[in-house]
Amino acid sequence: MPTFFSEAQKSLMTAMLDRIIPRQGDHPGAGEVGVADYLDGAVSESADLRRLFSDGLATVRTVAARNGSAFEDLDADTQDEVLRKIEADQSDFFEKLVMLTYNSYYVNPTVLESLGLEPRPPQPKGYVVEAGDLSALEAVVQRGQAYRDA
Amino acid sequence: MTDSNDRVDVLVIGAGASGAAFTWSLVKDGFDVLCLEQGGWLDPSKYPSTQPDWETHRQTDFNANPNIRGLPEDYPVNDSDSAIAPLMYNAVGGSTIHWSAHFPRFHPSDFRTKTLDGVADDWPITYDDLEPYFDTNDRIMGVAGMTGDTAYPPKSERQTPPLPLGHPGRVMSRGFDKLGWHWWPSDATILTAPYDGRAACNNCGPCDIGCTRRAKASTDVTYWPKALALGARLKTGCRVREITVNSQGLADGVLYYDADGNIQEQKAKAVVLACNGIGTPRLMLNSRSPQFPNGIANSSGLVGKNLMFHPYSILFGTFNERVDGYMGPLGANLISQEFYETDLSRGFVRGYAFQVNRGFGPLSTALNGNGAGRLPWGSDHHAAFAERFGHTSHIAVIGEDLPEEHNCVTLDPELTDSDGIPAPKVSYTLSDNSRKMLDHGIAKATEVFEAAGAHTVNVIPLLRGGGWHLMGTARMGDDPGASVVSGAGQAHDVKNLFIIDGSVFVTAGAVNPTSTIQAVALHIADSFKTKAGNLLD
Repeated sequence: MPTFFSEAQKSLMTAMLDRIIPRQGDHPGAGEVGVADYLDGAVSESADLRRLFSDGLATVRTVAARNGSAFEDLDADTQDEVLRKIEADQSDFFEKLVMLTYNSYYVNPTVLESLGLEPRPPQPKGYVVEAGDLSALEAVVQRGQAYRDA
Repeated sequence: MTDSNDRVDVLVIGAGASGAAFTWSLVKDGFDVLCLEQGGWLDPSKYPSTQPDWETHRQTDFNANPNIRGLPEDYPVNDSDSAIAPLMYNAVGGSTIHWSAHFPRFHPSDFRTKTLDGVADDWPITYDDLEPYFDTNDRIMGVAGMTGDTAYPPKSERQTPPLPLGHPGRVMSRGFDKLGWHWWPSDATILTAPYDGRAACNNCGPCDIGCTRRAKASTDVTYWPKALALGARLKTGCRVREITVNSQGLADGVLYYDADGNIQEQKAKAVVLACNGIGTPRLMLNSRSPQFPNGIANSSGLVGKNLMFHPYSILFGTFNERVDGYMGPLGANLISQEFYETDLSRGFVRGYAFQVNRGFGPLSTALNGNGAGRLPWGSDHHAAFAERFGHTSHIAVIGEDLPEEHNCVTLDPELTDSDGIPAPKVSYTLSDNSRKMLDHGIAKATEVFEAAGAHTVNVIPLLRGGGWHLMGTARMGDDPGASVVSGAGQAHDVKNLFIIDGSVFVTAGAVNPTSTIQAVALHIADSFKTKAGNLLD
């Protein structure tokens, strides 16, 4: 297991992830389904990402501290405000974070089940798709040749 | 360097759509053919569609853009000066590995644009010349479809029934029917019943990350097994650096890097280029010699010029009802050619088609929001996702690009592949005619969505990452001053050099080019056989 992020950083990221995709109804929050571990793996593979995330997370801490508390302890609305500020000021970091979050969240079996999907890859089972009614093509045929003679 | 005295009769470079078809045709008639391919064989059982994280592979190692994919067998393409990013795949099968297998033919009018509309040039060959080759190619690739399409001259029986329209097809055909516009189930080389030892499609969806069932035709599962059984030789991991010439100015063979990065020489009596509309001019421009200081067979100066893509606009319609477009083959479900032929009252010349596609899986929906950009993060995220996922269908407006010399492939002065071979640079701007055409298509596609009952339509006016079709960069013609090869694919300047891929296209049509690329390759192969006595002595 790659362990680029410290426990403190992971705890911060988990709190952020739960605001990027919050728990709602049947849908789990992104912090609950292992996205932080996925980020750890993805970020540890790239020097550029390591720098981007180290700096980005440090800024989140700094901005949160201006509200008198650690990010994890802020209420949800204030957490969102902090993230909107990060989105505006550190857009490279924030966009990457959101994209990687989606990449992990939407392939997670728990998430797929919450969407009413079978948590499986497309193969080998495939899907059953209705053949459809082609009788309306009779009207197309009635209109005659649709290409130009050359 | 090994000096191979083992001179082959015919050396084909590239094992994709055209190289496979050409090689099969020749070995079937007893010719000695060796094909060099820079990629390798892929194992269909290992394609990402069997893996839980299949959708992430579309963003990474199965991305259609070689610059993003960046595999060792890929070469980079400088596309910073192009409005459209070129896409391709390097493997046995070439870009048929990741294509959607949409298989319409060019129309008869596409070969006669100068005569009919006074634009571009006529091809030296016609639809009728190619008809028997379209037919042969359909049989080898295996086409699902339905005869009787009024947008084409009659075709022979398709190999299997058409792909299922599914819920998206039902919803969208309703829109076309209300407007009284042409539509038809698309020809696709995706089997709906077992054929030629291949299984039927089970509607898993993501054709673009490889077909584990071999239901989708890629030439590694269609032409190549047949060609190899007939005696063709195929060497993988071989990246050609340049075509060599002898003192008579004929092609003498190639220099290539083998899988270990060692330079090798292969001599040949005839050399055949099948490297796509970017790879072929790149290799020709890299083949400079005292006889050909501007690149081999380039006395016209047209090698690399007249690059045509198909510019695409994409429209996403969102419906209240479920459409469930993530099931069923991703590519064109039905096609409308209502606006294909020229009607100058529309404000542009030539025309376009609508490809009505299905939809995307959950991750792709979250990442591109079905045309509205990535979905919002935060407390609105789930609602935005629920509104779109399973509720959208999309229409691709595919327009005919006309050839323009300033749209071109050149050699980048600095960028190289991992063997140090200069990489291509692509320069491309969208013409006024193409822009007007796409804008017309956007307006008409919006009418279709409204007639079909969509509540929201999102538009991508020009799809940057849509350079699937690479054409025109070594075009055919009768005049050596205005074309690179003859109608038989033979270079005007070098009689034992042939080009068989989309580079030879004179115009682009407004449909996916692969069936026409392969028909042209088979046509050139038959013509080659009649010249062989002279060339291979």
